Amino acid sequence: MSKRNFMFFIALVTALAALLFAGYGGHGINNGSTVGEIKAPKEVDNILRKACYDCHSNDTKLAWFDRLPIISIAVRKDVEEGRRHLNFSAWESLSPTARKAKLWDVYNVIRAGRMPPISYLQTHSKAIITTADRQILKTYIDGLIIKQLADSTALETTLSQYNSWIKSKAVSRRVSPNGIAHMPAYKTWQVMSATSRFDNGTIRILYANPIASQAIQNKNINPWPKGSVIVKAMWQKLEDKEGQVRPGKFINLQYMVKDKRKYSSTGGWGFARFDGPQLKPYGDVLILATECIDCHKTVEQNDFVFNLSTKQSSEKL
Amino acid sequence: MKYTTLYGSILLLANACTSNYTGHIRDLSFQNDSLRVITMIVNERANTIAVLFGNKLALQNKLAQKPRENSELYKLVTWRQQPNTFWYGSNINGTLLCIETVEITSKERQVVPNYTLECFDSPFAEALPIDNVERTTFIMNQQLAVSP
Ligand code: HEC
Ligand code: HEC
Repeated sequence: MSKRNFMFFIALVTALAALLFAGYGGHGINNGSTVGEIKAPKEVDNILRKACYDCHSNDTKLAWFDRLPIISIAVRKDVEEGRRHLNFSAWESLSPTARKAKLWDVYNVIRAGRMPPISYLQTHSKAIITTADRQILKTYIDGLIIKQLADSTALETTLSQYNSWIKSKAVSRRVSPNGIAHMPAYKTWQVMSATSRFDNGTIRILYANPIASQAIQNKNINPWPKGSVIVKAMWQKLEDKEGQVRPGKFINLQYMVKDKRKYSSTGGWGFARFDGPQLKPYGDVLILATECIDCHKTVEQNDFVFNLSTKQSSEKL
Repeated sequence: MKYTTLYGSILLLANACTSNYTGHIRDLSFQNDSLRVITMIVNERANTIAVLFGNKLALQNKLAQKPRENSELYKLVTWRQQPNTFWYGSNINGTLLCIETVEITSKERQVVPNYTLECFDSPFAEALPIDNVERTTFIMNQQLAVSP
């Protein structure tokens, strides 16, 4: 190396170092107050703290390298986004039902290997979730299951909804704020699956339109072909003394409509939901573009679809 | 790079991409064609999920709360219930166990339900022998699920 080049090299290194440390700590993350933090058993709390709190609480504890400029910008983005999705420090602001649903969500994103993000784990090995950790979380959420036999109120609600439904005329045209229209023909489609949720006490029937049903038979579902439509009908569970569960109160219809171009920002699927027997369109354009896909991302490798039956029922923890 | 190595890495990549998801998915085991859903029944003791289908006439008569009539057709399709691989908290229909059919025919102006059972596995192992009359009544008496 010539002397001139050497000087240049030194200057470059100095400049880089300066750049690197100039903003050290500068892009600090504002740790807001903790109002209504999650109250979970100690062993559960410990897991959430070590693996999730950096991005999902107001108690972010960054490592020194997280504070380096450039890196810190990316970290900050993660933290801000993470908190927006889930914040254990503002847990009490959620309704009890929402809290419970979030906990199942938490367990499932971990189980699917979606969280903590792999990129984070590479630099923060303390956040690795062990099998023992998972067992602790599973035991915890299992304890939240409330199994209830149908009481007289549930039976009455179901009956009165049924009576007014059979008397009413078929619902006229319904369109979701994002333009997806309710398709009354769903009732003539192939049944794709039937499911029973023990996390939230609902049962569902899933319908596949002819394109989607053909795609299942051809195993052409990763990705699903354009024009595939999946409709999910959902009811509250009514369980009798013999352990037979039937549809109770009708809750809603949910749609996924495949069009890779049109719905490119939501995994190629358009989402819509119609509530109650009157099929009232749910949400607005923003909600339908975020809320649904945020959770369906857990099965991104299945082209965002959860409800197809697999040959081996895995007993994966 | 040697061709074998290259070939190997391509294979590996291709494998990783398809993740064998589609290979694990079951075929649709029951084609409901023109039949429509009447209701579904999960049996927590037998660990089964069943869907009751009917032809158009069966649904019309149920909806209008009219008595049964000639040519009504009902099919109760029962699957084993299994955990959903992709969501802990959900169970889904798995292996097809059996199909029970009730067909209504008329004989000398009397409606006669005709019950048949086709089994692919043994869900009723505990409850055998099957009482045709009881099963027919069970199938016929299910209420239509509210489906707007
Ligand atoms: C490095 C930061 C980071 C860590 C650590 C992290 N997350 Fe996340 N998390 C995010 C970001 C960013 C999002 C939103 C983007 C996305 O969905 O991928 C998110 C989304 C989620 C969601 C989806 C919420 C929704 O809208 O449906 C859940 C649930 C979740 N995280 C749970 C966890 C759990 C549980 C842990 C700990 C085991 C964890 N996360 C650790 C950054 C993080
Ligand atoms: C908290 C997670 C979560 C959110 C949020 C969510 N879903 Fe789902 N969705 C699921 C799960 C889990 C399943 C499969 C389990 C089941 O239905 O029994 C599912 C299934 C579906 C299905 C059937 C196809 C499939 O993937 O199996 C449709 C259609 C659907 N959801 C639509 C929607 C729409 C529309 C929204 C937004 C209004 C939405 N979902 C929001 C978790 C979520």
